Amino acid sequence: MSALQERQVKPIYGKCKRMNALETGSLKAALQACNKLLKKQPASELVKSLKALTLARAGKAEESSSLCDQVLVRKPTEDIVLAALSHSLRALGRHEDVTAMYDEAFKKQPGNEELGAQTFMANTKISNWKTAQQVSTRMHKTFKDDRFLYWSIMSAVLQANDPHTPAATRSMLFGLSLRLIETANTQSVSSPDRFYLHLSILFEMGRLAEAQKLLSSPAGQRLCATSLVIDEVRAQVAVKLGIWKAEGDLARQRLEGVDPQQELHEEAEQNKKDRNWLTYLSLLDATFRKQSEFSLRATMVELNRVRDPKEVAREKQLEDEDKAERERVNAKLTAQGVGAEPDENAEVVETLEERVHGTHDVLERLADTDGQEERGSLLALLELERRVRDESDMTPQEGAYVRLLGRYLHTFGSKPSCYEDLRPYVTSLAGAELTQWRAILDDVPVDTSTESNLRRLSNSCKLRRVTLCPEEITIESELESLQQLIRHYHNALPLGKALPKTDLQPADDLAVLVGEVFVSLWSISNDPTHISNAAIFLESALTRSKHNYQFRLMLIRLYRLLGGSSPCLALEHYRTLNPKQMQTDTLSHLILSRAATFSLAAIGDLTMPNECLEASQIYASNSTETAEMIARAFQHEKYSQVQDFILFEDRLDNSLQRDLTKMEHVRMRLTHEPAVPETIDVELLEFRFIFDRIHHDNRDFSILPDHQPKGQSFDTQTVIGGIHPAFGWLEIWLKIYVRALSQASDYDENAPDKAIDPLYLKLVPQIDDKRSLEERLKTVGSAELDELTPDEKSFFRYTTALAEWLEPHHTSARRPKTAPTDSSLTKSNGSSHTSSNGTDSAAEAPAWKDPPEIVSCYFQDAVARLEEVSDVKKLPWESLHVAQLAQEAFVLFGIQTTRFKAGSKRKGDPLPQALKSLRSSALTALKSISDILHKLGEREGGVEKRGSLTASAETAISQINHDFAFEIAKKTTDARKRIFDGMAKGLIKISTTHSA
Amino acid sequence: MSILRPFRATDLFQFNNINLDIWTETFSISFYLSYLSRWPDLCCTQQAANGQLMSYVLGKAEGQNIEWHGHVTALTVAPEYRRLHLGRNMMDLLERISDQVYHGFFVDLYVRYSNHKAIGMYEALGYSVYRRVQEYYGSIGPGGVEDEDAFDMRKPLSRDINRRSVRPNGKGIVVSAADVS
Repeated sequence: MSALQERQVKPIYGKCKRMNALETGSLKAALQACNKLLKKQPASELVKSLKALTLARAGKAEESSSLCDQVLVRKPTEDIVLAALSHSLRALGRHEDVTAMYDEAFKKQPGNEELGAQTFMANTKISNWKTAQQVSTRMHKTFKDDRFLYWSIMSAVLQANDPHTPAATRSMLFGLSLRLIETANTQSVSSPDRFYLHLSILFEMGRLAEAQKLLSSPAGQRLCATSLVIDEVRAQVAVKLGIWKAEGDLARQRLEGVDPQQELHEEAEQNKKDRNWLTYLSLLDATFRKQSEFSLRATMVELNRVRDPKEVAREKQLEDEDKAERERVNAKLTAQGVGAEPDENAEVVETLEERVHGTHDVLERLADTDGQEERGSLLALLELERRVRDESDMTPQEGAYVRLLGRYLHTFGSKPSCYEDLRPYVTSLAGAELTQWRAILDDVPVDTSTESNLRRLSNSCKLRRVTLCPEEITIESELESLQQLIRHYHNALPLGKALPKTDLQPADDLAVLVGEVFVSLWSISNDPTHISNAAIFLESALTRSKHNYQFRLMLIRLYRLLGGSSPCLALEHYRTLNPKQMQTDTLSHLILSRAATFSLAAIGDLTMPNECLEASQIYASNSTETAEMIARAFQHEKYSQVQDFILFEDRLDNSLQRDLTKMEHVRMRLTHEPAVPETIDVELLEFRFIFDRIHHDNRDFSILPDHQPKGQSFDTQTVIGGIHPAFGWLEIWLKIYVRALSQASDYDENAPDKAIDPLYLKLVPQIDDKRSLEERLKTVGSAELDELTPDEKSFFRYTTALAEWLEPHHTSARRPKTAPTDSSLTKSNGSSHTSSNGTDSAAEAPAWKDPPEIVSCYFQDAVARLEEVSDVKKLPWESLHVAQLAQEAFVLFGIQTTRFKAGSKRKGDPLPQALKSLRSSALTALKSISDILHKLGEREGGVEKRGSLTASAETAISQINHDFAFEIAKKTTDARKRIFDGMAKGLIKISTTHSA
Repeated sequence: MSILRPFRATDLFQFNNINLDIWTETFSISFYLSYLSRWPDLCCTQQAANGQLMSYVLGKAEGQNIEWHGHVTALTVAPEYRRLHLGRNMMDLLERISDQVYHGFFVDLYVRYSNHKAIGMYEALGYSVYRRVQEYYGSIGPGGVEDEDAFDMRKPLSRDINRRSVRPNGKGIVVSAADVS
């Protein structure tokens, strides 16, 4: 860029971010400046590209796009022009054009290394590994820098790992990568990340012996000592190869502080004893000559992830392909006389008993020296005993397991983590062992005079509670523990009096337990006052420990059950927790799961829909930021990170919560805005796109407390409907909406592009389902239905029946229509969507059928159902749930029948009359629902209720302050009144707006 | 006792029990990934035997010439896992890598000068105040103090033979925030 140019564009796009109009967001100023410059230099690529960027940021997609095209045809090569264009094109979702543009530029200037790198990066940002590999290979040839060779190797590996790559290509690519990395001028051991890449290729190819050889070379050993990543690979390779003896010896040496792989050049280092739990596990695995499922599941969170059934199917398919390919290659190798790897494990045979004894002695010695300093050795002793007891043929020593549990509790009972450490080991206790364990717990003194004694007491309470069986839980027993816990809590409070406000109170754990006992009491007695008592108690605990996030998490759940969600109470606590960035993906379920139940969008209160939009911003950040970081990991040659970043990007891009939020948003939006054709088309396209996604459930439920007796869980007890909406729920709701919206839509695929979120265009459909969309929409599995509440199931049956009944009428009435098939979006299953033979049959009326009973009775049934759940014994959320579904049913009914409103051209067509009568009976029902809700608002939100909530809290919670309990009861009842009244008004409003 | 392993991008999905605590800030995706894309060996986490994350540290290597050093950007431990020397374990690792891999002269970190607990912990680990940075923290911290000063604390590594990164009067040497960033 010339100095003159630089001066001219400085105000728009200068280096100083504070000064330039684009960065500060004053788009108007930027646009004016561009226009002014364009008058003087109408052909300037730079100014045009900056104007395109400004327009893109201002949301003027079409203008920006055409301006980009004007510059693109001239194949620009100038840095700043390319940069501005790539920003604009990305914002417009034209990712492929970015790479094409750089590719052209690099072709024009093949000696420009910077341009080559940019081209490579542009490809990595859109996971275009094949081209990335070609570009980097070209760069390596031209510029002779090994960095580019490693880029090309990594790209080849990524291309191989892409699920769309056929198995044969996959194995060819791995072969190529290996050859390249073995013959590179700079050996892979030159850096941990290059070495990692090398090892991962060998690992993927199943050539473990070679990997092991590299790892045990002096250079390999040095890297193991300084890089955790490499050491992880080393352990994995050893396990796969079954090199147990050597691994066991190494683990023991590390634990004892004599690590042969460590360079000990400082005296201080010599006393360093490895206390990594992985090292203990490796010693134990070596002892038993196998890994334990128990420890693997406990330590690898990934193994416990609930996966999308679609993902499971895809993986199975890939595995089968790989297996066939491996067999083919092996057959070829055998034919060539390449033998299997020699067995290097000829070692002195020790019996299992001898090995267990040996390990036991080592761990005993370590536990002795560690004392109270380190938990690992003692916990490993416990794990050793557990494996002897549960996973071997050895006869365990009578009582040894429980004695170890007791010893652990005795040694580490005052550490807050003691409960988490022991929990997995105590939940399996039964019979005599359980009795012995309880005797040990009985010995823990009921003493809250010091912090460590209090911790011991809290730990013992928790460790007792999780071993309780359903038959031991009665209302009486729970009431008794409740009183005990409340007493302990109050006795312990003075301990934390002097602590600063920012500190957590030592007694907090007991308050969490109190909250859980209340919830358990509610679940066995069905008395909803236990839930309001829990809320009042936790609110009071929160005044003493205002930063305890567990209290707030529990309160959010409780207030949703109590029907006081929107916009206060639950949301207030959520906002105080202030989940940001990533956390809006993992934690927004707290407030957005089945959020439509609490939405007052129908009367113009957009709090909940806005919450959805806010929580969705992270997905936009992911698309831009993560892609950039993948490129950056390449730039710094951190190959160990590239795959992780890609995995991360995918998990966030295809987050289940993302689309659950999207669905809730649409459910709420349609009660607020009229469903105009544009809205219907855009939502339909998006939903059809989402329907093909393989989702990842990133929601974090592990942060909720978990000290309930067997068969109970605070999480499932307090989630709306008793079940989390997940893959199945989303699938069903998508089916409902796609069917309903397609009936309403007259999408014309020849029309100019409908606006769709450009971020979505970056993704490709991920599943390869050969069935037609129509067929897929109609098939419903029982697992999917299991995620629905009973009322949601009725709603689903109703919408299905309605759609089926209306379908022939839509086909007949529709003008010639093609399915909303954008070939770039839905390759495989768009075409057979709806028959487009409308022209011929338009005049012909389909054979008449009366509406099915399920359709004609739905709204009346909803009234009856509401009367049933509005019982005082039920929690308020249930009434809101029934009412909201009726509202949603009416909204969808309106959308699906708009087409027939204009009246039929066919004489004697019974449809308009039938719809009219359905509508009017629905309206009557909605009016009744609204009336019931008003009454509920009076009852649940009135003075009397406030009094009874206060009184019940005062009875249940000793020492609760009357005024405080009253204040919380008032907040709760006020919030309830607001939501019941709001929902009642909303129904009336919908009745008028959606039937106009 | 805990699993000591590299911090990974996917850990951002499960660090809530650490990050919901008020002393720990949650940053943008770029923040975490930019550390991982450059200094993955200076970023590690500790995980409990039950899979829960307990703590993590994010560090970097920076500085010119004799100022070349390892820097601790974030060190945090979940409330339920405090008092278990987890901070010490992670600092040990970070110091070892800064010394053996990056060959830095020292490791340094910034701490709110009112955070006596943390200062005490770092002193026990061999750190000493090198200088006081005025109004380093622009936002209001959990303690409610605005524009708080920071202590820049340092610990020499083997390459700092002359122990230049230690000075007895560090607390009295005051610099402005503009001088250090």
